[in-house]
Amino acid sequence: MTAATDGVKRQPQGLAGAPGSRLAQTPSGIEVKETFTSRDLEGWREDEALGAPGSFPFTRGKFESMYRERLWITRNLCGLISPQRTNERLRFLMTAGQTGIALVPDTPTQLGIDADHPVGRNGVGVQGVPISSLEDMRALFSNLPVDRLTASFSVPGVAASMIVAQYFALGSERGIDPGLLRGSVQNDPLQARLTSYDPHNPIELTLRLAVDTIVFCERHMPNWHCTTINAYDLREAGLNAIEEAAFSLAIGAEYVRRTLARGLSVDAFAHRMLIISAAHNDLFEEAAKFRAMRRMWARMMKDFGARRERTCALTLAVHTAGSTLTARQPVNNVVRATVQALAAILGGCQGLDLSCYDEGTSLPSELSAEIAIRTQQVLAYESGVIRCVDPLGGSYYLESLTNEIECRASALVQEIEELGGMAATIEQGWASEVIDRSSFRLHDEIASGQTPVVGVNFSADSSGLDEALPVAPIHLEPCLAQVDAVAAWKTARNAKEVRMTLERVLAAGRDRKAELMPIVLEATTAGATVGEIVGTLRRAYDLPYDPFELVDHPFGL
Amino acid sequence: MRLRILAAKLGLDGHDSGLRYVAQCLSRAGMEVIYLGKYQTVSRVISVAVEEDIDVLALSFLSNEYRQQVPELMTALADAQLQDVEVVIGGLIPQEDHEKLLSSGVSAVFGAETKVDELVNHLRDRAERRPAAHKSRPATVSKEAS
Repeated sequence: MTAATDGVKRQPQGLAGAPGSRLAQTPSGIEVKETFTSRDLEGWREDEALGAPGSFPFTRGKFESMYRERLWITRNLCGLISPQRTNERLRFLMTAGQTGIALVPDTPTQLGIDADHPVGRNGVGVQGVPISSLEDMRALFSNLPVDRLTASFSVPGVAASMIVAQYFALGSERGIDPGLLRGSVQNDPLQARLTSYDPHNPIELTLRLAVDTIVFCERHMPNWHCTTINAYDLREAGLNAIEEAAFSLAIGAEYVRRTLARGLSVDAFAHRMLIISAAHNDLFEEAAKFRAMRRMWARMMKDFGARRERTCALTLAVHTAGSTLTARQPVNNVVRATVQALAAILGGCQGLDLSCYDEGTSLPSELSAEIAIRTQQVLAYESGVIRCVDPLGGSYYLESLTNEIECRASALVQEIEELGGMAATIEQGWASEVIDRSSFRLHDEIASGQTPVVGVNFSADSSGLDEALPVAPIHLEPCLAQVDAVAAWKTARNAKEVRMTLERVLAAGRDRKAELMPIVLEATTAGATVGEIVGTLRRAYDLPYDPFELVDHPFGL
Repeated sequence: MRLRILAAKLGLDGHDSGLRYVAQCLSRAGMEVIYLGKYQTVSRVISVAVEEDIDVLALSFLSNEYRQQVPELMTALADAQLQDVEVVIGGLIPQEDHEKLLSSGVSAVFGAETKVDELVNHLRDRAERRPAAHKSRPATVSKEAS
């Protein structure tokens, strides 16, 4: 094994040769024995634990025939430079074999500030697509048939409602029946507050917007997924598989509770909530996690009073883990994504989105995006993995893991509920401490070599793997043409109408009982931007218009 | 002397798990870390730097915003007579930009997959050369808005 000793660390030689390693445990700390037998499933009842595929508790899958009838939706997360350039990339991806659209807006949009904001302008189109106004949404979907595609918007935070309003308005002006608008928005402000895009807007406001969006979709966009709990970002921030399952379920419980309080029955909306989860490297733990999440969700919905089976059937979208990708030997990332995608498929996902090999350091190039699609196609059409529904079902090991994950994650959900629910644990700082603890542990284990990362903490020397595939420039420049376009849009639109609708947004925001979405839609249609609507709502909560306190309200509200 | 470090992300890049881990490592290494977190502006960083009398400013960038933010920051540091503050930068900084940052007065740039020990050693080495001015101070504090 001389080759293995060439790297910075010796390759672990099985469990015995890797002292101190956690190889005898899953990454989330479940002990794994050498062999599992029927004794490990004593007291386990197939009818209760599994049911048939497509039936409660949906452990074996959301649908009876799963991929034999309906393949998962192949997506590639996309968003770069400008609405026009992103539109070109979308069309490229559709031609390459993508079957659904997955869009990520840029950071200014996510934070609820416009492209022409003095801080925002540096980030325009750099880490996603800029969408300030309805005009941008029009450009983004130019020549794309919105009545015949499924579009997912990765917007967890305060801008989610405005993005839904824009998409709805786009459909209306094209004369499309809103029932034909299919896709999803994240609309997950708790996750946004915890790990990503939220410049400290009051949780009271963001939760209000989120629930209003759920209510609006229930009434007007019956086939739209109103909430996508973003378990993915929680996992990427450092949680392990068990914690990811627990946090996402507890977040779901918070939204369901608050929507029930608005008078809707759980059967009216919960089947339009889904989870986007992360697939990491540990094949069996990940596959078991997806199965456990479906079972936990089904049982939770029953506890919320669900009477219809479909309310209990969790839709799972899966994105392979960007945080596992390495800058060194990026070609290895193709293999990582393949293993992770396999876990997602064995776990029964409905949508699948692979991180591209260059995403350790870059936004994906066309080449890397195409490889990600080809990887999905090889898995779908060559590997035979789709032939049999839930092929791992009944395995002593996998069912034991599924039970253990459910058991530990349920205990954690219970703990969160006892602390007052997910929103409370976020405000108390507890949730963030859990993330830090797990994240630091993971990073420590990578630094010490306890968690092996091929090409990084061992086998780092290579004759050419670092350059085996091209990696695009690390950074995109901010798209200043888009900054100008948004500024021009603001002068060209009917200012009087925008002002009037923003005044109504302010009044509705101040009346804590008013429904916000109809008025957000009105303002959006009149030409108000994401930044203006969010800023006006901030004013209604007695906060400065601009979270960075650099810009005043354009109409002095 | 015990180094006092301000850890922050300037601009809009929202990826902070790397910086959080680095802050944790520096704190374990016996340094005092004030964690300011993400979505910061130059003026806020400067005002906290003055208020907390820091020795080191540790910044992380995963997007290209360092190209606008760092020159602005270096000017603002000079204007606030904080030239003695060491600025260290980590994250996704392409090699061709390292020299530019260093010549603008940044003390060190650490790229992807640098071991945290390298940063700790760099700061310890700098600390030894600094005059011992600081007395005992409160332990690590978080200044993240909540």
